[in-house]
Amino acid sequence: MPIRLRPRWISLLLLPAVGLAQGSGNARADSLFQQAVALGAGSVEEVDRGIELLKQVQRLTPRFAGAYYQHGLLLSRTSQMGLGDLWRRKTAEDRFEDALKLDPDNPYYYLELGRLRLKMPFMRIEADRLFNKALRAAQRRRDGRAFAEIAWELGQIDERRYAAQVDRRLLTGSIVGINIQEAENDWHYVPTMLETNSSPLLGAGELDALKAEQRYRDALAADSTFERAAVSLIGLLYERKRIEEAARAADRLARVQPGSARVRLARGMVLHTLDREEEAAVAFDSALALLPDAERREMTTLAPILPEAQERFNATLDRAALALAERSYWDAADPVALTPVNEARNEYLARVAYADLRFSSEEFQIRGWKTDRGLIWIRYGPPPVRASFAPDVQGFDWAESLGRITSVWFYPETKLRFVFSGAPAMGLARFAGNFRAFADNARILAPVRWDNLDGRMRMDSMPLQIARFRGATPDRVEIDLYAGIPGRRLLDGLDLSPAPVEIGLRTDDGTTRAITRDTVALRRESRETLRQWTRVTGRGDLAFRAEARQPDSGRGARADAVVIAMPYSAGAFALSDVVVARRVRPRGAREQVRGDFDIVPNPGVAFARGDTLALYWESYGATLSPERTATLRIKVSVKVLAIDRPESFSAKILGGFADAVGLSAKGDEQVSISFDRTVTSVDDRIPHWLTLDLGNAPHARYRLGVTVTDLTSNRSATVEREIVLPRPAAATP
Amino acid sequence: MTAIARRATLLLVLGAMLLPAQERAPSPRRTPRKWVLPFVGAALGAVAASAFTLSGGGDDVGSCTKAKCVMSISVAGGAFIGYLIGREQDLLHRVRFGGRMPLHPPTEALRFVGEPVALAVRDGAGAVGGLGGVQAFTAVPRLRTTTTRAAGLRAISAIDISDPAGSLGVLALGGLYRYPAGDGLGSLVRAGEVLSATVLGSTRYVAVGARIEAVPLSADSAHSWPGILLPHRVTAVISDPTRGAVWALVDSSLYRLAPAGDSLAIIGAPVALHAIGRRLSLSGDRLVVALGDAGVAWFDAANGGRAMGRFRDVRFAYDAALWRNRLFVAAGIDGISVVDIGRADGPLLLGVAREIGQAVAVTVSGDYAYVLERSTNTVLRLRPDFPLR
Repeated sequence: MPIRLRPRWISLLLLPAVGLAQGSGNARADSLFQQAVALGAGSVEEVDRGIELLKQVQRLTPRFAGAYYQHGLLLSRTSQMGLGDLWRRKTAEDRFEDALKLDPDNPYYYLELGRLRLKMPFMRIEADRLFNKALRAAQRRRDGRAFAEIAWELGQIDERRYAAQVDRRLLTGSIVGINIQEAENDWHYVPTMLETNSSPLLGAGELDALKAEQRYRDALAADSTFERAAVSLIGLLYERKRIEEAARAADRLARVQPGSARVRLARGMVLHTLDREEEAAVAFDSALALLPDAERREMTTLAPILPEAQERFNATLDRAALALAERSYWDAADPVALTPVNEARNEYLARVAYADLRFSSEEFQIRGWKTDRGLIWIRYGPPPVRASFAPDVQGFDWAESLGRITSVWFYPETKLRFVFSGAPAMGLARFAGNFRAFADNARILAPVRWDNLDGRMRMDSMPLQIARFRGATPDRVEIDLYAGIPGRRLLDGLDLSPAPVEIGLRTDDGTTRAITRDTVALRRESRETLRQWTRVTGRGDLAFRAEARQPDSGRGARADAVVIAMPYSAGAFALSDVVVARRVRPRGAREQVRGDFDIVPNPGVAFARGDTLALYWESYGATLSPERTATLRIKVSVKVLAIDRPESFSAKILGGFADAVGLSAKGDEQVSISFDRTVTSVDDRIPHWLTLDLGNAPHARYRLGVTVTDLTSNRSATVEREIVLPRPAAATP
Repeated sequence: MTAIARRATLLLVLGAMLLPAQERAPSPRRTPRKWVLPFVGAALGAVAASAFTLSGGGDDVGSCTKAKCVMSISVAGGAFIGYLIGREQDLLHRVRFGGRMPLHPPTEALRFVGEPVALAVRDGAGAVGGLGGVQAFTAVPRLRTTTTRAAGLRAISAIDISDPAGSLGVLALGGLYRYPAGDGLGSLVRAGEVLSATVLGSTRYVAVGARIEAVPLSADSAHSWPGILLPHRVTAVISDPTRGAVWALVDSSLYRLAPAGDSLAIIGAPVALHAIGRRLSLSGDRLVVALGDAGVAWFDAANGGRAMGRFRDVRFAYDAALWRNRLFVAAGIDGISVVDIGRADGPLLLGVAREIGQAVAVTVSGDYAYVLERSTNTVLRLRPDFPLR
């Protein structure tokens, strides 16, 4: 398959305007030259054809420097590092030298010769020298564009030196090298080694960072539209935690380079760091809109942060289905739906932008998010602990580390650690040892983490109980949602009064999404405040997200649930879901609909020993006698599912139906209470309620089952619900 | 001239090309380390060689194990390594200071928890704000933390302690919060993007987007308040009790406003800054504006904000404060730049206190200057009249 050069490299190949602008003075030669330049952006075969054409140009016009330069350029840009392309690089070098003989002070020729040297082992110092020559030539010619590009290349050399030294630690004590195997096998190794066997080298790389920064500023002073210098400057300031300066630079450069997607991405990254989320989202979206379609898809793919199986499945989807899947992902990942911005998506794009800025390599044609470090950065965010170690000259433990910089990233929260190694000053690093496999395994447990968002928005879980009832007509379902807003956790330690809490419910039926919200004042001392919503729907699946958010502190709580709404068939005997409550009692004499009862649901369905447990449910479709009575047998069973210690327990009905009060049962793992009930009803919707005392029920998880049998038609239905009696947390001394 | 030295010179020349010529106090002569360290290296090499020789050495034929050879190699090697290290140090010194005089003011330090981003000091008491709330401290006689307030507030960006009655204004992501003097819970008084606040009389003037609103000091609930709409975003406000005015940074202009009814009115024409202003401070009749990468400018508050001078020899001016004629510039990683602005022939850079660290805020109150250093979350106190040498 012919290898096509990436489209963005076309601009680099066409960049040197020197040869093109001047022309050879020979019409045929010029024509061949133009054809060669056009072919240079094509496949390897086309490039080779272009080279042949350039050879013809050289024969026709031996003093046309541009032909030799372009020839060298095609060879240089299509050669790789390593011994395999040695001849190609040597030929390229010769052509550049030929061009220089004809046009000795051409900055572009020196520039490309320097770039060629960068691909050669041990020639980086020579590259540096050539770039400086090119810089002086550009100054003499007052060529701002050339100056900018060369200054940027020099800045890149300085920045790579900085990157090789930043976070540098010296090994101390008896340790002589990083034991990569042990780092993989035992998470204790990394923090212990860093703390006891190494010490930080303060100020390492500072000089190179300052030099790089000055180079980038010089490049932008010469040509303010030079994108690579712009993103490099922003990235370097950001890396050095000079965020305000990065923000100022990003604002200015985004105005000067409005068409640059990378500058906007960098700006979005900085704004996100400054907690200016809405502006960051706008910056990211505008950046993505500027990218070519293929690049945008590559950059925003969820593949790196999905489980492998999901990634494989997504790869089989068409574009529309994939877009829907990605939207669903971000909906679920959004920490707070009540804010106008998806903070997780902003964080993801900020990570991608950082990886693009810091880990990309132009000379190796690798975008940062595709590198090993970029992958880990995108998955887990910035590592709280970073360290680099000088090249190992003894090949202590792993031949791979011989002569290479070893970088260690450690995430204390998850105990994840990653080790990379790379040649000094090359700007690339790969997984060391078996860390690629380690990363693949880590992905199974945690394909992505958003831990670094915790500092801004502490999200808690919230209990949510959902119960479905038949609607006003059999084809409708009423869904009641009961949420326990954790007031104390949201307001604890917040030095503010009033401290309103925004509460909302997002309902998504797959085609439309609605959020209802309001603001309430919670009592600080209240551990949990009940909030209830009712939704009426037809058949379908509904995704709910209940949220509570304290906007001044950024704290929140949320609960997600998917409910399958199946309308009740007309005439069928069925039961609603059971509502597990702290209290159920009739408001008055009438007991015909749910509204006739005072129900205090228990959203978390968790009880303490000694609590009473109240249940409410409805039956539908019972056969009514001409006197409008129904005779039903009700059986309530409580079964232990998982227990701390086996004990026998008892259950006794305390309230509810007169003929059921006082009934009790005792058992080891299950108790059942059964009784008959005759009730008069205006229609086939019959409410039921009970209050249970579980006595000395052990701390365990239970399945509560309610079976109602219509004794007239002999039809029955069962519903179940799990409840829990958790063991209380041990008191803190 | 070596390649690296040529590079460094080129860097400095290019850098200087971007700056208008500004005077600097002559830097004291510094002995280049590349001439000092070779001797140190040679001495260390000689010591090592002596130790080797005294331990028995060696006399293998054809190898350099005899005393004379070992000594020569060690001394030469030590000198060479010393030269390389010294040259690197010289280059770093040149890049860090670039001919500016290093200053070493004595400081007292007080460390804080969290990551403070805002600093305010007034009448012997101060506060820093950031992650973890607002931490108050006594500024005199000693630096000492006292209480923490505004705990739990997200993304605190600024603090206003200009109320003589002692109420605390805290600017955070949610807006402006007012905390009563002493202790007590705070309340939101203005929601929205509030970037700055200052008190004049019984009113706190609050920059909200492109508006400046007048919030009564007694307000304890959130509203939109009466105010004035300006052409661009307002980034900083400061009260000028002497002239009964409020000065505001509005994008790249300086506005003077005065209370008018329950709002404000613009007085005179805005003053062009030619750069976007970051921070504003007032010392007597002089208004000082930190302009980020455009340096620092100062204006005559008694004369309608007439421009008086500008200082550009700074990488990035985060903040600036004036003590008599000494201007202190919080210059980020370059620490504090100290400038004499009282000279008839223009400002004179007295020097750079780089050892202070990453200075992101500076203020002068009473007999001291206070600096917020980001990398260690520390407030440093120094006497503004410290001797330069």
